[in-house]
Amino acid sequence: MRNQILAGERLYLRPLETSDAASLAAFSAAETESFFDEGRVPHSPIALEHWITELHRRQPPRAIQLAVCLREDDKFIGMLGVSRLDWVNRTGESESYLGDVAARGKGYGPEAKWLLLEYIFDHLQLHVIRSFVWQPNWRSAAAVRHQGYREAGRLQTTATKHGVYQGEFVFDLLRDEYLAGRERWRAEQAGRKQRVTGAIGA
Amino acid sequence: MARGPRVYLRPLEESDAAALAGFTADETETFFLGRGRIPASPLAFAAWIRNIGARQPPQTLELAVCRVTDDHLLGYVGVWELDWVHGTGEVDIALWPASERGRGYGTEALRLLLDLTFGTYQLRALRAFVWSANARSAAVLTRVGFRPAGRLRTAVVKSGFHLDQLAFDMTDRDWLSPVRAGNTKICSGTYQV
Repeated sequence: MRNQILAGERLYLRPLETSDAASLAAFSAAETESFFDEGRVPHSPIALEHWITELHRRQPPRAIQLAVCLREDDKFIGMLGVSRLDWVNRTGESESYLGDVAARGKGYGPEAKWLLLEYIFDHLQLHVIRSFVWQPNWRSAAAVRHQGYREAGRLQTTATKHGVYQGEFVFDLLRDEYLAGRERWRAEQAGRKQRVTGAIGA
Repeated sequence: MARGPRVYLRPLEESDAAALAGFTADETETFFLGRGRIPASPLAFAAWIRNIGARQPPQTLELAVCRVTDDHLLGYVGVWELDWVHGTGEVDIALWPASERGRGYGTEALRLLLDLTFGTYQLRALRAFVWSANARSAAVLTRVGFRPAGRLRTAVVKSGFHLDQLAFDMTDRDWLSPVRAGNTKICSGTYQV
């Protein structure tokens, strides 16, 4: 693990580096899901490198983005972070993106997200976090609901794809709800491991 | 850029910075206005105004609100986090001093802004967020046609109180529809009452 900020069982989070720009551009080019609203905006390595550099220029930062890497081989598989940081009111907006298509569907997303929430609530000491999910992105909407986010509203029209305008779900999550959700997730994980161990033992 | 019966909108100028800093320092309704305790110096406002024009296409559209009769600067109104691909952004408005509020200047300025953004800049949807205690701003948004879109909990802390934030949104269809109640206007850059 390199420059780790937080580590889970299979993943760790580290600061984004300019050398991640090429991987992010490649992820964007190889994207298979059609529900990402910015799928047709060019994401070049140069543009992304500039974006990563700018993230670190402002102090205190208005956004923090962290790289998600595999523990076993340090492979960079995506990023997540918090944007629109309000240091006075202790709020922000959570974002997550598992860019490596091959890494999806393996449980990395939830593991990374719980690490991010730990970083947000226990390290940055925010007291509430919000999330905006484009309506067609049912996978992210289901994920944040499962993590304990509450649906706070719905914006009518936020982005277009193929000529169709669709809205956005608005979610929020308080610190207490995060703690309850994390316990629930840990219990689920423990139960799953027990079942696997039991199956192997049998 | 847009003119109504009592107020007009023009680009912000660096020379507005001192007035804006003075307005902020003299603010009396500090409970429901954001960032009331963060120093807003003339230098900070000047840098902010310069930055608005530095980026093309702009990510922020902020316009000075001035009184027609004497060109007096009343505040600013604008759209930030502009997304030119999807045609969206977030509305903000600030008017000073408190004694000038409640006279319909904000409503008029906001209608001019909506006509400009939907009619001229072809935006498709706007959103706005208002602290739950700020009933006046919520009322202005509703009056011009914004629709309540949700409520974010404990979005701000003020004097030890956690306040929610009310979300509103409006589409171009809402604004450009000639039958929309309360929006008596024409779509040529100015509206008529």
